[in-house]
Amino acid sequence: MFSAWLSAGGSMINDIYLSATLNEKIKKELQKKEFPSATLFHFLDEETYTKIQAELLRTYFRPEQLLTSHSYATAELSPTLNKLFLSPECKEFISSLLDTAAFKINARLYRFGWKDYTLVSNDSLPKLGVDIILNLTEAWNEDFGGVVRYKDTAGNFISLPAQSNVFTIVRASNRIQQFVQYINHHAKKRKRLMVMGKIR
Amino acid sequence: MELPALLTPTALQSWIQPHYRTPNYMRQLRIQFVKQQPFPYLELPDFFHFEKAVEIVKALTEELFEPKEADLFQFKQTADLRSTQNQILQSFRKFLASTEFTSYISYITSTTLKPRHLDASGTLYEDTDYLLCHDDRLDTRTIAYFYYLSSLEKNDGGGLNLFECKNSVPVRIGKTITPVFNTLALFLVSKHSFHEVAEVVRDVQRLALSGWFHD
Repeated sequence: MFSAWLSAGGSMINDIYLSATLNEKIKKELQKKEFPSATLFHFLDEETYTKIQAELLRTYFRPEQLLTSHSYATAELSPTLNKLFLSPECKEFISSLLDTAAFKINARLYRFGWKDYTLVSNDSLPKLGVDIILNLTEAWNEDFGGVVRYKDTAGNFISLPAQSNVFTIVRASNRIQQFVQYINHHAKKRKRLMVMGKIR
Repeated sequence: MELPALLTPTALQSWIQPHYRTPNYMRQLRIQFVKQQPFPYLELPDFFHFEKAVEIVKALTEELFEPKEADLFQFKQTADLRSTQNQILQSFRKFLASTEFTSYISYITSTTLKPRHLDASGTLYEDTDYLLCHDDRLDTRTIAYFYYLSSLEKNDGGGLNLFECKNSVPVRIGKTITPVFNTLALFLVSKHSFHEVAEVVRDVQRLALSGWFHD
C-alpha cells in the first residue's frame, strides 16, 4: 500500500511507519477523546536525520521575543526538512492518519536556549488543525525545562517526550493549550531544536 | 485624607519603624511614588521593627509551601494566610488588612484601598524557580506588595524586574529590586505594570510574603 508513494531514493520516514497495521493503531490514537495524539519514536531514517543535523549547523536562527508571549529563535525549514514535508510519502502518511487528502503543513524550525519559552495563547479563537512537533536535539535533559506541554481546562499538564527524532501529532482543540516550558540556567549554552507547526 | 490622623493609631507604631511614620517622610514617599519609573513603585528597606520581622520569618518557614507550576511560573506558595493557624502570621495579616495600615498605604500611593480586602501568601523561590513577565491585572487588584524575608545578592537572580513599556508592550527592564530582608516593595497595578521575578540561579532561598491591596 505504501510502496506506491515512496520518493525516488526511498522513504525518509522510518520503514516501520510504512506498515498498514501500525498506521491503523496511530489513527486510533488520534481519535481518542482524551488528548488525541500520537508520538512516533525514531521517526526519520538515520540518513535523513544525519542530513538534517548537518543542515542545522548552517542554519541562521533569528531571535524573536514578545515578553508576554514568547522568546525563541526561529528559521525556515532546512532543505531536507522541506523535502520531507513536501514529499509524497509524508503527504500520504499524514493523509492516511487524518483521513483527508486536502491539507496544508505550515512549519518552522525553533531554537530554545536559556531564558526562552512560549506562553499559552490568551486568544479565545477556536483552535483548529493538528499540531506537529519533530524533536531534533540529541540528549536533551528535561531538568533544563524546554518541555513541550499541553495544559487542559482543569490545569493538568501533559508533557511530550524530548528525545531526538521523535515526531508527535496532536489534534488541537479548545480544551488544550500548548506551551514550551521556560529553559533554566542549567541548560547553559545548550539549545533545544524542534520543528513545530500545524496541519490544516 | 488627613495626614496627622494616620499617625495616631498605636497599631502603626507597634509594627512600623519610626521614620516611616513622620509626616515629612510620608509626604516625600507620596510624591516619590507617582514619579517613579518605569511605573509607580516604592522600595522601603527596614520597614517593620526588626523583632517583628524575625518573628514573621520564623513563623512563615513553618507553613506548608506547595509547588506551583504553569506556563508563566514555577515556585512554591502557601495558602492565603487568612487560613493560617499560626498566631504570629494571623496577627501580621490582621495588621496588613487593618484600616490603619490600608489608610497608610492609600496615603503614600494616592489610592483608595479597602481595609480587610487583602491577599497575602508566602512565596518561596529556589534554584531555577521564576515568574515570567505579566501585569498582575485582575479584578480589583490595586497595589501589589512584596515583603522580603530573605536577602539575595544580585548574582543569585530572583530580582523583581519592572519593565519599561512602549505602546503598552513591555520592552526592557527599567528597574530591578533585589530582595533584602525586611524590605517592603509595592507598585501600582495598571496596564503598564509589567514585571517578573527573574530565575533564581544559585542554591539560595528567596522567601517573601506577598499579595495585593484592593480598591
